[in-house]
Amino acid sequence: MFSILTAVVVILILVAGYIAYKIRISPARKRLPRNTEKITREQASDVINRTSPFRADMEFAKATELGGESVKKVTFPPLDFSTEDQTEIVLLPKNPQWIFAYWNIFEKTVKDFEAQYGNNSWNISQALLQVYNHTEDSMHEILINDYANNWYLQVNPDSYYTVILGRRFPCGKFVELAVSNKVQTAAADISTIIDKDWLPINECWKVCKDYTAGISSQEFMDK
Amino acid sequence: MAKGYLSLVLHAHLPYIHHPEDPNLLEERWLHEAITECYIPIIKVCNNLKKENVDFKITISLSPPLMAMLSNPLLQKRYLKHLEKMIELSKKEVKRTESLPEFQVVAKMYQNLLHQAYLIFHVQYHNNLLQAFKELQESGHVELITCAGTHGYLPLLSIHRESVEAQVKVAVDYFKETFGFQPPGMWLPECGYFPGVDEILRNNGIQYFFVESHGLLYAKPRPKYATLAPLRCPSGVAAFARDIESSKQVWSAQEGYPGDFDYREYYRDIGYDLDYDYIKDYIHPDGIRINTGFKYHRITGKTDYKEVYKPEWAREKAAIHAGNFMFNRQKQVEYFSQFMDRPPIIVCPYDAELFGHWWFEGPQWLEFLMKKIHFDQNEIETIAPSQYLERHSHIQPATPCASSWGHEGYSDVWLDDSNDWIYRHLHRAAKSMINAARAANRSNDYWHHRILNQAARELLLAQSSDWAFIMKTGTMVDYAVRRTNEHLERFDKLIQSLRKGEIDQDWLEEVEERDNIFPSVDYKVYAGI
Repeated sequence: MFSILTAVVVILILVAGYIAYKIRISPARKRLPRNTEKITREQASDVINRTSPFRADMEFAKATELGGESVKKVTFPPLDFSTEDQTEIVLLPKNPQWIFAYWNIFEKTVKDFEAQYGNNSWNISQALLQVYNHTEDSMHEILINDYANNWYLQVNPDSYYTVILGRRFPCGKFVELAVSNKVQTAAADISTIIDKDWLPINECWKVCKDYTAGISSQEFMDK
Repeated sequence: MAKGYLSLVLHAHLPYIHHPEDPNLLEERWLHEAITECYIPIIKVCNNLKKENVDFKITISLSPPLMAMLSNPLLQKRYLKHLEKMIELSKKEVKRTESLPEFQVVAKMYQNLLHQAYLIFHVQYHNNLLQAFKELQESGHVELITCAGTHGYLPLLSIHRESVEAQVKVAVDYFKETFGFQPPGMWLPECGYFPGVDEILRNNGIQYFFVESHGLLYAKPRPKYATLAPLRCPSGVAAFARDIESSKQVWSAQEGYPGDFDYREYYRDIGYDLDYDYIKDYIHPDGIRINTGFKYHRITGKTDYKEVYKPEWAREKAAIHAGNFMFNRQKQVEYFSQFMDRPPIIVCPYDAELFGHWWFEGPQWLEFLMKKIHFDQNEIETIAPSQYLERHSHIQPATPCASSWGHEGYSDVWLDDSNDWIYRHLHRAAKSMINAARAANRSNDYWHHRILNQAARELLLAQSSDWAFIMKTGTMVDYAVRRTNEHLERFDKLIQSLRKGEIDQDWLEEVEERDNIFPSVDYKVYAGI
């Protein structure tokens, strides 16, 4: 009997202590409403995430979609800046032998083209890339199709390139749509240029004869 | 007087994985594993060497995403919880292996290592390992540097100079905020160099960077000393090259030390091997089996049959390999110094995550190596690149060759049919960012600035080279695609809201909380002014 009474007293003390603790920390909690909100959101996500690591984010995306019902929508002067979508072609050197080219053709370009060259002029003309090698001063053409929006171009090492995206009519007339950035492919070998003040020391170069580029951590992990 | 220099460089990086909404994300384990297996052991090694008065110098590159994660209270709390859980598992493992003495030796080794990790992480550094690196920098044993903002692969971002400038400036500013001094050098992500990036580095106070061996070997004009001395780029910044021979000794799958049969086998882990009921509390809550770090076997040979790991054998091998590594560097230095008018410098850069994670004995090897260099010889001196530049200012001028340290040595890893689709989106976003930043530069509106700062964070996060790398390697691809898309979608929404003059503040706050890297980022870096 005595032990039951003791247990009841201990429980009461614990409950009182807990209430006192809650009262003590509650003002601090009120001062930090945003933190509380974060904790709640995280706890909610914990539950959601038990089954799928990605569900919480989907819920978040839905709940916070712009233009939806929002309690805290703020307005400010719109910022005016150009986002005019222009037809373009971009080159990215991949290695000394290859360049990756991608392009974006916008509807306006097609409309303007047809307005200038007549109905169906887009369909009857052939899409192509003119690949300019500025180092050799040469150009070759690659015929492409209208479904492609990128191409890998075989090139020479250590050379400068630009590419023109355009279309050619059956009559031979060429229309330029976009000119790419100018890129330089990497060198694939030791330079023949020697600085007379810094003549290469043969002994330093001996160990390099078996050199192959590209030993990497990836190779190690793969094997 | 030493005849030559050894510059050992450890590049530490993990992508920014910060999901307050998901405490069980598999990808967050990358950080947990790297802290336990790599960063703490490296810190431990450096502190041991310091205690024993070993004179050594290592260069450590800490990427900004890694710095941000190591100093993030939520991630620190989660790591501590993970560590406590692993300590709990180690106790169970010691008990489970009672009747298997050979295995119990290994279980006790893990228990001991985890206890030490707890002491270092929680007791000594109060959950913030950046403090450890700072102390090592201050004591002069480590030269701390950083890399580009979110580890963006700069050659493929370079069609917009502002993108590269932002990656570099944001990183330098963040490093200065964190450690209180200008980083002397920069690790170009994946050693991705293109001519011209050095000028951007110079504008941000960087004195040197590293390139793959052929970055120097194929430089113009031809370098006098091959890879054995740095080159001075047209900007004035110095480029150091990875040494060929020492790279092979550590990296190469055929010839490298980490493949030794006495070393620990990475691919046998109790997370996969033990009964589900026993291990379920220590793998993913959804029951997905993952690495726990408890691995009981040695490589044994090119066979599926694996013998039990013998820590003392592996330690012995680490000492032998350290001796072998030093011997070979001594021979290199002795040979080349006969022909050179300056001491040759052998630059050995490695991923920090190789040490301890893939190559479990890597930190032991490092400790043996530094001790042997200090006590057993006089030919080699360990040096940081900035010390080299102070001593040797007359450097050959030349332009390094565009290169990387990825497979094939150029941009092949980050640009192939698995990942080439991302670049048109990254470039489009960069263009929008530049246009918006220029327009907002004339505005005093609070919301314009706040939204653009977040847009800058989203763009930077989308540009991490890790996503393209993961897409290429083919594991965890969904996550890499998701991260690329998520950051670009958030970026687009922010840009749209600017044009519309309206934003949902709850949404903005949530995005700011999740993608909270670089709290002090200033979008004006994209305005080109």
